[in-house]
Amino acid sequence: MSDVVPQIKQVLSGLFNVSVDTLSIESSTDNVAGWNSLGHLMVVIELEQEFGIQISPERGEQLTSVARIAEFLKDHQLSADTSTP
Amino acid sequence: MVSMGSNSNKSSELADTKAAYAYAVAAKDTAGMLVYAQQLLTTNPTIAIAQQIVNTLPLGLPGRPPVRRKVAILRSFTIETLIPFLMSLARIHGIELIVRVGEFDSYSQEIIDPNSWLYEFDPQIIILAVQTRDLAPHLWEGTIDTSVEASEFHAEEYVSQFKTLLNLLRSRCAASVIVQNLELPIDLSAGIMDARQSPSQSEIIRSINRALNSEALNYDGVYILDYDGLVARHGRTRWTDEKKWLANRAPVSSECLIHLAREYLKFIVPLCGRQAKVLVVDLDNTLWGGVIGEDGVDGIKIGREYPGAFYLALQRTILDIAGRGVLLAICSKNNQADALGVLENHGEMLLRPKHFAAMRINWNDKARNLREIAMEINVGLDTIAFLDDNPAERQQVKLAVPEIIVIDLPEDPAGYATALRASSAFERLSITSEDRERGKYYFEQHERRRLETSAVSMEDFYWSLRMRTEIVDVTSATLSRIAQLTQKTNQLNTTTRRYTENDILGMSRDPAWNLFGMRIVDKFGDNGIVGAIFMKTVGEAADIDTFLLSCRVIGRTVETAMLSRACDIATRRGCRRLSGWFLPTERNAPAAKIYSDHGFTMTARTENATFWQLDLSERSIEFPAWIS
Repeated sequence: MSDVVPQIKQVLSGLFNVSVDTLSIESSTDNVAGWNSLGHLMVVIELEQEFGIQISPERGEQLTSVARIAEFLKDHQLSADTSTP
Repeated sequence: MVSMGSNSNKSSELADTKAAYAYAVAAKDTAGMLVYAQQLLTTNPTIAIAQQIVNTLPLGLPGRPPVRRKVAILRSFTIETLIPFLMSLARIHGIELIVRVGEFDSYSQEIIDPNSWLYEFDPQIIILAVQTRDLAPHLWEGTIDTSVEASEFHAEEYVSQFKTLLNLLRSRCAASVIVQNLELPIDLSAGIMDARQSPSQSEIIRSINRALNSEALNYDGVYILDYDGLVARHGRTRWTDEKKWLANRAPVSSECLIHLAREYLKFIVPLCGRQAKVLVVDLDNTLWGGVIGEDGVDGIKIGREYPGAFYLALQRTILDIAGRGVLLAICSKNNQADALGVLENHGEMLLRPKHFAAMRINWNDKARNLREIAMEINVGLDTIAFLDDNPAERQQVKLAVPEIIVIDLPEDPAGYATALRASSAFERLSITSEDRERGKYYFEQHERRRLETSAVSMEDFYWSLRMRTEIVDVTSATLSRIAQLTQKTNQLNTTTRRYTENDILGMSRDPAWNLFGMRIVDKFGDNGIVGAIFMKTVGEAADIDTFLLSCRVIGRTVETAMLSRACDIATRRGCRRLSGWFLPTERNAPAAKIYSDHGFTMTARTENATFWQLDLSERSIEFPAWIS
């Protein structure tokens, strides 16, 4: 399974205009400038666009850090992989 | 990479484009950035990419100064997610947008309160983005249990509210106002029975939209954006994300955000004066299917059947665009006679030679031809749009002349017309009388050309041009232009000798030399100095060292006028012969017959040059009667 963390960092870096190097697995709504409620909506939309998926409001609310997004995507990818023959 | 169901080719292509954009940014290559930014926003429009373009793409180009506009968006829903798209798309057109967004559902207060941020911000453009469910919840949720009177009352109320707001806006600021009309719900409350309802839900929403259209006409600078039409074009179910609406008040689905941004841009581009004035089209595989030089008139595909119908649809679209006041021109690598044959005689063509203000049908590179067309029509390169099926030609133009607006076409000709219609470059907010005048002017100029090729005699044509010439000497005022002519003239140039200003100054001070330029004015205006002859007296002969004429005025007997003047000068100097070499190059075929056409005889030839003489005691060259 591929590592999605670099891709997530890319997304956040693009959205909030911060360098990828300043982001880590711990980056979250608490420590990234601009990742407020509106910023979070953009993160969700971006993930939907980037990964071609739909994220429910309940799941979206929980994706408040790089670690949590990575975990979600891995689960999603796993279920997508197993559902295709 | 995580790729869920998408094919890996696509994602590696995307990675390549991203890398190419990043490389162009690092290399400060604006033309490259423009190419890849547009590609990314077409194939993978995400907020992060849009944001990156906003942060990195420079605004100005050599031939296109940047424009900056303040935009206020008054809204009833979350629109912030669309702003990176709007700003990045605008940036591609060289427009910097400074956007401020109003509070949720506060558009009325913001317009009514004279001290609101809106008037302090003083925007040039105001967008009123209000959806039906916010403005007219009664109509959105259904009219099945509402009386006719109540529905009509609601409808009138919305329209009158709209009038009040517009009156206030117009009295308080000069901004252009873009108003979204009301979209229909996905499903109607009475289902298939809607049309039998009184009032019908869809009908009453449409009646409000009709009222908005006619109200907007009462104000300067108020424009209706057909939001209902936009949503319908993309599909009502695809457009809406009900979950995000409920959770975030963000009703437009992620994939459709860019479509709304593009629709706003269709208004913003003309409001910023960034629209195209000229649409230059390719011929083979663009206006018709196939290659005329290979397939012949009977082999090309154009008409009402598959697949010719796709090309016909494109021609129809081009005519529609011309009807908005956009001039048309042709830029095609072709044999001119073949191409004109189709334009003039093919029974299925909609576009005819009379529709085009300029044509470049030759084998030169397209960037160069487009520059020439811009000069001929006398418009800036940033007002030229270019339509070509060949991605390589498009790329060459994009990189060589980034100011030019290049319309990207899909591979499948079935999508050509739609792709052209989607461009914001041809949108007009209104058709002004000036547009119509411009069309007329070019039609007249076209008529001049038609005159030239019709059965009317060439002399009539020459007379009709009302040409006046003036011999100019080498002076400080004319030196640089004359030197430039020797540097740049390739076609009608007997010897193609390039001279610097210093060279020419030296010759002009030498009594053995006689140099003159010719200025020409015709009924269309002053063409400036378009030709020059440099002669040197050698014994009894006046030898023409350089004889050149700009291609703009070839075929109008100006060359005869120049040779006639050369005869006069030579005779005055006591010469008995006028002579000159013709040195052929790849480009100067038009000059090959210039001496023989004027009665010179060939008296010498070398391997690749010929020497011509005219005996002045026997004959001279008459000055054309139609030139004064």
